[in-house]
Order: sequence, then C-alpha cells, then structure tokens
Amino acid sequence: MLRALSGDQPRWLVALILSLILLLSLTPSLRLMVEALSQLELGSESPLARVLRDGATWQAAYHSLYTSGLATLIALVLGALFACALSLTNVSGRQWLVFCFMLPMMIPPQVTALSWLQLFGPSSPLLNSLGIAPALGSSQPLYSAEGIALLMGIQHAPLVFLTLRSSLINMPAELIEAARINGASQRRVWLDVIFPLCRSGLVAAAAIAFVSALGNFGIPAMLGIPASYYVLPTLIYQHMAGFGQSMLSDVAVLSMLIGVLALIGVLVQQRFVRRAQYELLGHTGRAQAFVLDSRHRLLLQLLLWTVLALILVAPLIALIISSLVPALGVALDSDTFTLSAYVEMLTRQGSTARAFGNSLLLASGAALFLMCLSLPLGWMMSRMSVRARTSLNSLIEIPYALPGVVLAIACILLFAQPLPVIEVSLYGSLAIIFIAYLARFMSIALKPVQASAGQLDGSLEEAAQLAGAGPLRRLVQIVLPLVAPALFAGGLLVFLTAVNELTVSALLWSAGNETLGVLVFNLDEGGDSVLAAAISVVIVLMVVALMLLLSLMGRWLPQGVIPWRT
Amino acid sequence: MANLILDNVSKYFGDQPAVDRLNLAIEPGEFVALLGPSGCGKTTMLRMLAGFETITGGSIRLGGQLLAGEGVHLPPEQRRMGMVFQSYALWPHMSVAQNVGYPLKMQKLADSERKRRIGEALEAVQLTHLADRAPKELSGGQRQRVALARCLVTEPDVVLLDEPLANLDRHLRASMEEAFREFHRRTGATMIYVTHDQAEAMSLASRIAVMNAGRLEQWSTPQALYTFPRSEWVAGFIGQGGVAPVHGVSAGMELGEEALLKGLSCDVGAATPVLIRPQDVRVSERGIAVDVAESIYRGERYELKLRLASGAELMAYHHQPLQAGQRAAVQISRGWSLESAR
Repeated sequence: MLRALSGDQPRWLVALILSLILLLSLTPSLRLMVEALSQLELGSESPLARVLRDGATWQAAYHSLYTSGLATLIALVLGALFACALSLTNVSGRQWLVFCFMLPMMIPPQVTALSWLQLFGPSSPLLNSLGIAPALGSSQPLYSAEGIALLMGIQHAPLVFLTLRSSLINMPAELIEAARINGASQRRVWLDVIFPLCRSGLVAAAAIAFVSALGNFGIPAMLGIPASYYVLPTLIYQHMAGFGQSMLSDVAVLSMLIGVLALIGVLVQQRFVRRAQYELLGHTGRAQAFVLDSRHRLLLQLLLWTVLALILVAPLIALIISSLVPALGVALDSDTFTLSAYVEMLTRQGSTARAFGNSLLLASGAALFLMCLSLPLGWMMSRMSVRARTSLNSLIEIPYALPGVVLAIACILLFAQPLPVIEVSLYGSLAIIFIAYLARFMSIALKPVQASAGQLDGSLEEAAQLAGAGPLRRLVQIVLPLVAPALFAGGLLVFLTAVNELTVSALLWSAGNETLGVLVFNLDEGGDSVLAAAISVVIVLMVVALMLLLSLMGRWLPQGVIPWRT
Repeated sequence: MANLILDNVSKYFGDQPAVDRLNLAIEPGEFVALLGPSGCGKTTMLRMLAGFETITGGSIRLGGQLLAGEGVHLPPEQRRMGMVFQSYALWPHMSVAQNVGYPLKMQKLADSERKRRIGEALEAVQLTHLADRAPKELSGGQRQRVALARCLVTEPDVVLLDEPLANLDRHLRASMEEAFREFHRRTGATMIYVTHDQAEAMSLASRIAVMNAGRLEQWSTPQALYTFPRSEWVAGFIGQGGVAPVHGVSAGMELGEEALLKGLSCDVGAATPVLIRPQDVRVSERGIAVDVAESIYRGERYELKLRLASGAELMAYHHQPLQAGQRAAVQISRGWSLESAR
C-alpha cells in the first residue's frame, strides 16, 4: 500500500505521517468501543445493559433529541432566510451581513449562553438599566429545554447557512429565468424550481445542524444543569463528577450512544451533500434570481439586520453591560459604572492569567503542530488515488465529526493508565488536552491545505524534478511557498477554534490546567457572572479580531477556505 | 550527444494500453514531432521519456545508457532532460531570473557562474530586461520564452516539449515556432515535440511519428508523410484530399493519369483506397465524370467537393465557382494507393 501511495515521496515520511494519523484518529474511538462493549459476559450486569436499563439514560437521550430537533428547526429557519436573501437577491452589504451572521458560530457556546442569560431574568443588568426587569424571584426563562434549543439553533444556524448557500450559489440563474419566461409567478418559481433544487442541500444542512446540537455541551451545561435538565453530554459530565467504581465504563457506553446517533446524522449529511453537488454539476455562474426594487430591498435589509440585532447584538450588549457593573442585578449608570471586573481579571485572579496562558499555549501549539503535519499530508494526499484520498479523509474526519464529549471520554480511557514503557501519566496534565486537540482539529487544518495543493498545477513540481530537485526539496521550495497562505489560514482557524474550546477541556482539565472555556464555565457556576462576562467580552473581541485577520487574508486563498467568504 | 532508442515501449493503465509496443530510433540532434489526435498516447509517451511515468514493457535508452525498462527506472532528476510544459510551469513565487536559475542551483553551481549562465540564457530568448519580473506580469509569449530559457540553461541532451503552443494565439505561434527553430539550432539538442497540430509538426520537425490509439502509424519525414502516407488513417489525418476506391492496384503504388482513369471506371475485382490530393485534380472538358457537391469560396480560389460515380468524394481547386449539382469532368494526374483502415 505504501508503494502505491507514495510515488517518489520518501517512504519514511509517508509511513511516519500515516501512522501518526492512524494513532490520532482511530485509537481513541477504538478504545472507547472496547470499553463500552466490555464485560458483556456479565449479561444484565454488564455496563452496556446497566446503562441501557437506567431511566436517566433514556430521559437524557429524549432530552437530547428534543432540544436538538427543535434547535435544528430554528437553525433551518434562520439559516435559510439568510442563505436565500444573500444568494438569490440583490441586498447590499452582503459581506457584513455574512460576517455578523457567522459570528455566533465562532463565539464559544458558554459565552453565548452567558450573554443570553444577561439578557433575560430578574437580575439582568440590561433590563435593570432600562428599568424593565421582571420582579425578583421570577424565573429565568432560558433555564429550560426551549431556551437550550433556541440558543443552539442560533449557534448552528451558520452551518445551515453555509450548506444551503453553496447549493444556492451554484444554481444557474437560467433555470429560474426559464421558469419566469414560461409564465411561472415568483411563488411558483420558489415551489417548482428553487425548493426542489436545493432540497438535498436542505437535508444535509439539517443533518449537520442536528449533529452539532447533539454534541453541544456548553449551552445545555449553562442552561440545563441549573434546572436539572440533562442531555446526554451533560449527563456524562455529571457521571464524571460522581467517581463511582464503574463510572468509566458507564460514561463509555453513554459516549458510544451519542457517537452512534451522531454517526447516523453524519452519514445522512454526506449522502445528501454529494447528491446536491451532483445535481448541479457542470453549471456555473451565480444566480441572482430576484432583483428587488429599492423599497423591497430596504425592507428585506431591515428584516435581516433586525434579526441580527436580536440574536447577536442584544445579547452582546447585555454581556458588555454585565461586565461593567459591580454585581448582578445592579443597573448600569454613571455611579455604578466600574472596570473592576477587568482589573480583577488582569491582576488579582491567578487562575485567569493561568487559563489565558494555558489556552494560548494549547491553541498555538496545536495550530503549529497541525500546520507542520498538514503540509506534507496535504501534499501526499494530492498525489493519491481518489479512493485512497477519500478513505484517509474520512479517517481524519472521525474525531472532528464525533461530538467532543466522545473524544474526551475516549482520551481519558486511553490515557488513564501511565503510558507503557516510559511510565509517564498524561492524565491530569495539559498534554492530554493537547493530544485531544490534535485529533479533533486535524481536519480543520488540513482542508485549506488540501484545497490549495489540489489546485497546484502538477507540472510546477515536475519542472523542479527535471531541474534536479528531490522530493523534500520540492516540498520546501516549490509546494510550501505556494500553499503557505492556506497553511497559515488553517493554523489560524485551528487557533480560533481551540482557544475557546470547552467541551473537550471541560472533561479533561485538572487543577492548574484549566482553559479559558472552562474558566468562564466555572466562574458562572460559582456565581461570579460579572467576572465571567468580562472574560467573555475579551474572548469575543479576540474572536472578531482573528476573523477579521482571516478575512483580510481571503484574497490569497482558494475559494471555500474561509467559511464566511464565498 | 547520444541517440535515443525506444524499443517496444508499452504503457498499460489497468488493462488499457495507452502506448502499445512503440519503436523509434532518434538520431542525436534531431527535431522529432509526436503527432496524433488527443488520446493517442503521445503525451504519455513523452512523460515516459521524462520519467514521470513508469513503462510497462520494453525499454528506453539514451546513448547506450538504460533509462527505463528491464527493472530499471531512472528518476526524472537524473535523466538530464529539459521540458517545456503546456502550462509553462513557471514557479509563481520566483522571479524570471530565479526560475531560470533554479536548475543551476540544483547543480550547486557557484554564484558568479550561475549569474553568467542565467544572463546568457535570458539573452538568448531576448528577455534580459525582464529578469526581475514575476511570471504573472509577463505575456503568454514571454512566459513561453522563460520556460525555454529554463531549459536552455542546463544544456540538456534531450528537450521535451508538451504542446507548447496550445495556449498561444495564432499570431504568436508563428514567432514562437521561429524561437524553437532558433533554440534547436543554437543548442543542437535532440528535441521531442508533442502536438496534435499537423501544420506545426510539419513546419518544425525533421521527422514525425504519427500515433493513433497508442500505436505508431508512420515514422517518416514531413514530405514523405504528405506524399506517401502509409494507411488510409494517416492520409485522412495529414493534409487535404479525397480517398477513392481504385480497382486493379495494390497498396504503396504511385498511380499516373492512365492507371487512375482505368481503375476508377472499372468495377471488377477488389478495390484499393487511393489518396488524391486536390492539386492533382484539374477540372477540364473531358475526363472522369463527377457531380459538384459543393463550391466554397476560399479567397485565392474556390474549393470544390466533387462526387465520383462510386460515391467517393474528391477535392479540387478551381478559379471560378461551379454550381452545386452541376456535372463536370476532371483529369487526375497523380494518386497514391493506401493500406485500408484497420
């Protein structure tokens, strides 16, 4: 197999990279399966049977399906609205609309939850400042299944938007124009042309939103745990706090349960994405089917910006206001305005500085490592047969497609014992989070490099080969300079995703090794919402800055590398 | 300088032959064209010469050294060949001078020597003033010349050219053909030129290998290819003219007026396809009867499509138009009998 894959690329490099990938993407899931299916000989006393018998399991599974299903509906409505408006009509300010609409996906879920919590409820500083807060003692409406679904829907709407937009953008305008000239009204065009053509895209979008909601930990943790409303990921988190004897086997079974549900979703999504691409193969050109007159255009723009104001601007304003008051429940005015939370974040809280340090270290380390891996890997894969490339890609996708909790539990199982031979224990150190990040974000780093390497004209390398350059020299002198922008963009995307990551680190952190994501979560759980809000504001600023940086790089990158630029 | 010997070279993709037992003996310093329709295997053959593709059977030798075959596969970087790619393959992140100098850097030449040779190569293609430009700032013809200079700089024994004019407009092609001739004269290198354009091949090459479906159809000079094509397929591919069945002759015969008159009017015995070029057909008062199928104005003259009694079509030139459907008579001064199409 090595021979068939490698061409004239050095064998040792190919072998090294392939085994690293196998180790990172396959061993955790395999280890998890072994644990979940262990002791089956005990019959009804085996972990599998025990967990499946437990009423809490089924209740959490039902909660997961209910909140994820509802979230998917919300995401579909929001995502479809924006995808259709931005791809099929002539609204102006597209770039900013897209950027703002994508923002909720990039903001970490626990920050989203925190900002929405500041928007509602009796202690909301925003409502208090406006003098319209509900009476003390009234309940926080977000601590509910519907609250969870609403926030997850908003967070995953960008995924729907992206999937749907790619099938709408590829839809040839001629198809719509042909329908109009044959006498179809606008409404008939929607029903007879647009909807049937993007139906596959719609199903794929729903599946990806559903899988993401199923794996979401931050939002149900912040909104569900206070109301004792558990979904599968939070049930695992609760079990982990229990430290019972059979705890590890139990959470392994639960993880496998989520894994199976997610896998079904992923398969549905892949199938329909492929079908959507096939239908539109060969057509190019951008459809701008509906050129609106200025009044309708203004109305549509107003609608889009109002939606953005409600789902993005309002919670962020609430978050900012919360970070500027001395305590929750206090209204913001010139007397109460204080920067003490920021001062405290910077000076007094040792854990804050440590968490920033840990997260920056983990994120930049993972980004650098994965960049170094992606370069030779992307290069190798561009030379492989389509079949070999597809199967390797699916392998790399596994840890990214599976919910974060599943990977985290798998890593715990894998590293609970000290490593053989060297007798070093990774459990309870930053290293275990680092390894989990490598596995999880490999696919993010690789995709841009693959896109870019795939676009390279093979003759560029062949010309160098004829000039006498060996494979490694070609990689460094010819391929690297040409894919550098994509490589860097991949690294930035990994950094952006890893620096705020909560799900994996929430289960893998230990004292002294907390990450930013965990810090916000813990501060809020401990009642210190003002400090949590201040940290969240800093995180949001960081996210926006990184996204803008990526946008600026956009023109050196192949299409599709930066999700919010199409 | 060394001659290049292709001995029974084959290439299979799966069980599909792309190149089927190809034999060529190329003299040192020769300018050879591999000519054929797309998918005939000519580019695969070129890539096997360069070493980008392995060969499935046979062998390739350059001056006695075995390049490929018998279990040997010398990698491209050790073959001392140069190549001009269809897309030019200029590295976009290097300047013109860096592109040209890269092969010398691989040979670890001293800086001063390298500068001198880059200067010479750029001078040869008249691009000295653009040495510091990036490839994307150049026009198509200039890029092509940079690619040539990059080939020139290492003084390779063999230069491979893969449809190098395919991306240029017609006006530029003529001047680039001149540049290739000049390049060939200057270096004396063996040049192997892949193209699907017969006019290009005829005007550049001293010998042409015509390929079809992976096989060598004919291997001769352009003049011989035009005048004495071996098979009906080659006759149809090279030049213009018509093929008519003629009785009582065998393949590979040159036929005069008498033989053609006799063979075209008789219809006993087996018929052999005979190529008749338009300049050998003259409209006259008497001779072989034909129907005028079409008369097309071509500027200098009219091009006639004429139908023989057997249904075969001939082509002729005439100074004035004839009416379609009109009957006419022609005299045919020369024909060349062919092997039937496989």
